[in-house]
Amino acid sequence: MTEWHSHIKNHLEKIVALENSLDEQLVSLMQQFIREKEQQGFAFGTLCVLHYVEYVEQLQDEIFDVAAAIELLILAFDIVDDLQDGDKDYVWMKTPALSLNVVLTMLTVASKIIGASSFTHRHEAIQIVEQYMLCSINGQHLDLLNHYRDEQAYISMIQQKSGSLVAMSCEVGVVLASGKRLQGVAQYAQAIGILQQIKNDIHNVTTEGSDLRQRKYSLPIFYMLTLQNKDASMIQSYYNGDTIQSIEHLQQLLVSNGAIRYALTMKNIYSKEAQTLIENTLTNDENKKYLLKMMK
Amino acid sequence: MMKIIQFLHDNMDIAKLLHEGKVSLVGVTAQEQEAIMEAFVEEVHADSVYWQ
Repeated sequence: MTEWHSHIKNHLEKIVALENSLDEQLVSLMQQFIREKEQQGFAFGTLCVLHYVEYVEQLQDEIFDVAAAIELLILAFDIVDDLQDGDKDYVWMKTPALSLNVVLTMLTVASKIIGASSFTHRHEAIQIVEQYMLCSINGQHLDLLNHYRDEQAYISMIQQKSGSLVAMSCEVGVVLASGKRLQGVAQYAQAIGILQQIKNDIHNVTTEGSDLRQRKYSLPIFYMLTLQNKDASMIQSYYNGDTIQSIEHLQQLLVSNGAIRYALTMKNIYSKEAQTLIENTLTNDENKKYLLKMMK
Repeated sequence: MMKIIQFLHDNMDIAKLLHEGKVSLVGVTAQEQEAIMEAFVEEVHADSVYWQ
């Protein structure tokens, strides 16, 4: 599967180079953004290829065009997310207005690539992309509003925001290979998306702490708010707008009260749910191994 | 699940017995119990990374 990375990269370069009606500077920006993305790997495109090969006997090179299109969609969503959060240091943060234009280009090119492919089930693939993209946009909107105030609403938000993009990548591969939609694939893909988001949240609140600075709600905070002690009252006051000694102090309270442990438990529950579904749905051992490794 | 974690957090001796397989939790599946035990081990690692 490591060779898929370079295939996806080559196909991304090819797709962009084919857009010869675009201004040179626009193409150049798109290429820069793709190079920056490459450092993070092409996990979503790989998921698409993996699910395609799970259900076909012979790998068709054109699947890498679709995987590249999936990566363009994910990159477009990442850029929008970073521009909205405003707290990252990526190249696209330097020119927000131009970056938004690149995002629109990426979304259009990605859709065009899938629609113009020769796969029998390309129209079903486009329907899946549209369904999950809308779902993810909705999740992102709910995240920005920061209105969710209980765990169930929070899980639903991250399922829409992150789970949808994993499910899109997996299901496009399956449908192009078989013409079918498999509930098991959708379920474990959503669980993978949720657990990855919980991991990101844990990492954020225990290190840089930007979510805490912005008073964003996540599992450790919901846990704290159910406690009946002085630390919980302090966090409640902070989330109601009061000041706090320091973010580091807040981070220490989350650890010492078991809030991080709770978030880790929930992450593990989704991980185990995904593992069981993967075991019951896929047959190729290499594919299973890759997915299980990805969740670690 | 929050209440279980809170209980174990306040009663670390029971969390230790759980880890040693000497007690088990009522009302959670075997998979959930594994998830809890792994979280208690994982956080030892997280503590050393983030807080020391």
